[in-house]
Amino acid sequence: MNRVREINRIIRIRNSTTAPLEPVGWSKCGFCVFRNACWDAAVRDKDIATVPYVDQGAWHQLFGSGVKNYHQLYELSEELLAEIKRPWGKHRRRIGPARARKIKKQIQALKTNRIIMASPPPLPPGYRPGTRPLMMFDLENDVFDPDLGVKVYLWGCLLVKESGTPAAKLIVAGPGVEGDRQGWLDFLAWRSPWHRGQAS
Amino acid sequence: MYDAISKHLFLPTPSYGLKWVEKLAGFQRSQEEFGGLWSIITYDRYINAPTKEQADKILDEILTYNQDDLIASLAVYEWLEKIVADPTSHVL
Ligand code: SF4
Repeated sequence: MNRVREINRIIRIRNSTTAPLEPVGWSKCGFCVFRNACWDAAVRDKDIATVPYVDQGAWHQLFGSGVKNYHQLYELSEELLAEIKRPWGKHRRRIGPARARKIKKQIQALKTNRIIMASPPPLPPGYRPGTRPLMMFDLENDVFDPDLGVKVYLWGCLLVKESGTPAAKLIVAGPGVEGDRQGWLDFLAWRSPWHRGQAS
Repeated sequence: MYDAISKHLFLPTPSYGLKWVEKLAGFQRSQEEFGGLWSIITYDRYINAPTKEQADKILDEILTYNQDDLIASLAVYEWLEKIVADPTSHVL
């Protein structure tokens, strides 16, 4: 049933002569080729969709009521915002006080161009500012082509020691199941300078 | 790191993704083109490159992107350390 509705929606969009009214959204736009154009326009217009914590349902409800940019949204009191009901699956649900509060704080940060602290951010357990060594990982997978046989195509690891230049290991997997396997083995086989130091 | 930032801070950015937060941390990428979508497309170009020279050139771009991501993560972590060490210097 949902598929039929989605196909009908696509047909409607294809037949229309004006652009559809759709909010930008990070997960929704993630791999869309129009992302830069849509996001540039949304950020320029201070569209309420660019306020983290304004979900798609809230966007539709607010935009439909004439609240289009975050300056207008900021005019609403936290209490009023919390009571606004937006589409939520098959139902409608209040934005609620917790999300309303976050939206207001988020807009305050955007309007003042300042960071607002809700509570002190933690570092990893056992870490204080300046604690080293650190390991940074960056792995990426190929979501477009499951037939390629490569699950992770990019393996990145950065070791930051107490002193000296951080050491990086970067691996790009070859194609096919064998490339995937070799990428993983190469990653495991990296004996970082720190490990070598420990061993000697 | 994402949790430490998104659950405790409100940032003047439309997203809490690395590509936005790294700018607050003062990090500048060495390559103009980057991102998850760019990377997937570039990897596809790499494995289908007609010559070894072309494949090597594309490989360089992917590796630079990956290295930039790692150094950006480090820049964001160091920025977070500064906030933890002295909250008043960075935040409202
Ligand atoms: S970037 Fe793509 S998914 Fe996002 S609003 Fe634009 S067209 Fe829609």
